[in-house]
Amino acid sequence: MNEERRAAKGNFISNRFAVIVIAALFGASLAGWIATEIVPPDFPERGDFFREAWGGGAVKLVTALHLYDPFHSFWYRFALALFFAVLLLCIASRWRQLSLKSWRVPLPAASGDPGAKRLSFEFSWRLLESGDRAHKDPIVHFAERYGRAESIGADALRGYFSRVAAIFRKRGYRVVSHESAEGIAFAASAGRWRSPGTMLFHVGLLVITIGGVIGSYAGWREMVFVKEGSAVPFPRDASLTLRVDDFGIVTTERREIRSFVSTVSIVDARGKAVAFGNVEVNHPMKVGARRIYQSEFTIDENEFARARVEYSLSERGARGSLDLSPAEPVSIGDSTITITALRFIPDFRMGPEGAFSASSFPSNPALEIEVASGGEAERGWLFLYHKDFNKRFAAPVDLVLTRCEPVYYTGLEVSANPGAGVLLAGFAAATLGLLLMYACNPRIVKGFARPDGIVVAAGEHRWRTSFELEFAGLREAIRKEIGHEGGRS
Amino acid sequence: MTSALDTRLFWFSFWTYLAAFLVFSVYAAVRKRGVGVTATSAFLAAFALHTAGLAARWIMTGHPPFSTMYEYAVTMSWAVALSFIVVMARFRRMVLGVVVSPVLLIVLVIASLLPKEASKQLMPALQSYWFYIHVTLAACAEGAFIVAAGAGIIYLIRRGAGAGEKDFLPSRDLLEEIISRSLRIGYPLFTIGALFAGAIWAQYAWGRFWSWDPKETGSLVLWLYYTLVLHQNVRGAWRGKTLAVLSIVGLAIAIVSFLGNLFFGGLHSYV
Repeated sequence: MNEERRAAKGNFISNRFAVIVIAALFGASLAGWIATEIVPPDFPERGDFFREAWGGGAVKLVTALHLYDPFHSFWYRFALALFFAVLLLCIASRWRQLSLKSWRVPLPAASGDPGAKRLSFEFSWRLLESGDRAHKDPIVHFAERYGRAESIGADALRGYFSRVAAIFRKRGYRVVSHESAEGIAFAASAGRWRSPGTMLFHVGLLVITIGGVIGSYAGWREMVFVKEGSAVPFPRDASLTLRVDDFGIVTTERREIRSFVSTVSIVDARGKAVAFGNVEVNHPMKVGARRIYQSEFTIDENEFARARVEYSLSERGARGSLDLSPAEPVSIGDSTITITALRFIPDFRMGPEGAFSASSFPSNPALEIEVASGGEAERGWLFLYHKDFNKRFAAPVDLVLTRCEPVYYTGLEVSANPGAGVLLAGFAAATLGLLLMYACNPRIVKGFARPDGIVVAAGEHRWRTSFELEFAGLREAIRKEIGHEGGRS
Repeated sequence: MTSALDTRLFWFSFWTYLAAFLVFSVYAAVRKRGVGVTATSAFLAAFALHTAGLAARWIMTGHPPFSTMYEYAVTMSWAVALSFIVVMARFRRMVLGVVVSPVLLIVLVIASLLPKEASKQLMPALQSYWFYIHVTLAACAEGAFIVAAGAGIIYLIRRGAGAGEKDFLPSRDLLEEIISRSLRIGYPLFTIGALFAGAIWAQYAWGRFWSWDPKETGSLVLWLYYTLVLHQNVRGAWRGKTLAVLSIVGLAIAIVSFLGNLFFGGLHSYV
């Protein structure tokens, strides 16, 4: 039974299963991505329409698989949960291997045998010193040619080895060595931080997933629309009130939007402001564990804060300006003509069913007014930015709209995410892990320095071409350092 | 604004890249070193014009050129060109230009079809230093993925080539190394820039790390794809031809993800 359990656990944390799980999550995400483009999120509310358009079977399938909101469906959650479980178990069972793999570099076992390696070279100390065809003659050839081994003393060997080790260290390798009667076995390794990086990245992903789950289940957000100068109860905290003291759209000279700014006060039950400040896009306001975001704004079509009209009475030549309030008739100078502001539209467009606002942004503000004179009343539009389109009234007066400030409702999103700190910690760990993983290129070179010469070897490397170049560079550097070109120690 | 200096430089660089591509094609046919040097010189000249165009745009608008799809595409293609120059300088294989230059041209053709209006004022959501981190890293990552796919195409061409062509084309080992290295550069940049920096910025701007917006989902799909590829490749599997094919498929997903917001809408609808 234990064997079976062990085998099952082994399969669950195997690389093959990890690949299957990543592939499953990839497939689920891809399917969800496609589904969101085909099935609208309001699918459940428009069931009859889709039943008619797509047929009952398709509607049943979409409903059963929750394809109108695929990323909150049972199958996507299952794929995520599986990913989390496999990641957790892999880390828990393989943390030692993941963390320390590139730190453990065993020394070669015996002289002349740094392992069966693809790349290798060997030099005779004496021949290197002499500089005579050193790059051609290995130890064996030297011994065969002269019939004797040209050995050096233990002190000289240590001196040569320290110079070889310095060459490796200069290239970013860490050198460990062990001296025995046969000589000095050494292993040079670079890019050792890769394994801890791998571990950190995996832990980071795990922490991010945990943070995401905490945020999904324990976090909340609510949207409030508040008219400037008014207040609403603070979401999920009856003891506080959220008051918007001001809201403004900061624009450039070319009327490009620079910023949206809400000046907000959080007021307690005694009327005391416990927090206040400006809320802008990218600059949320913090109230304890909650944050207030500038999300959007809206304008009520029939409201405006202030409107100013300049008039010119054509008969008398009198000029002046008037401030208008909604639905309040105002007399023009001492004449019998009155103006009444009826309706405000922030982004005026004319459609088949009359005037309407194309957006909440005051791109084309227009004010509908009624001009009454001698018992006759006439309605028409005045435009803030397009004065040529102003209505010409039968009454002997020219009117120009010079100012019209809408009443804004700022859209603030109040939210709390207890998983935010966990997520940020996960991002930090995973980022550091990634940098270590991909900035470190692990390489291992082993060798043995014997009294008669040195043998250096390296195995396979992922990037064969570059590593061959590096290995050839190491060979050349050792030849130069020990040989006559490097001088005598 | 559209006929401004930056746009003119863009078109100059486009035509020079096109000329470089044609000369690279001739080089592939005749294999004369002089032709290769001419093609490389034309490519470097195009890159200089490309860089000047981006600099002009930056100066004109007062912000780095990442705020529109056009600017992003031009910056991403600049990253591709730079990656190619680095690879060429390191491995001395001009023939890579035969594949990289047309891929680059495709990105520039896409850019040329996008609105080129320059705005001095960034929209409020983009006024954050996270914007520069997010977009720069994502553009560089996608540039690296394009280079990987280019090397993948040459790898497949090499497999089907005759003996003479094989001597001319870079070795399989070298091509695999270029693919592998490009993916290893692109993946961390994409993870940190497109996903992590994007999520943190979204938290500041919108109050949530993740919204399942089409662009975000596309990025997640792309990230999972490359996670899968690298997870296997690091362990010694999915190498050679498989890696070459996967790098090309990855580019196809990246293109859909990049262009997604043109069709799908969502929070990332910055045309």
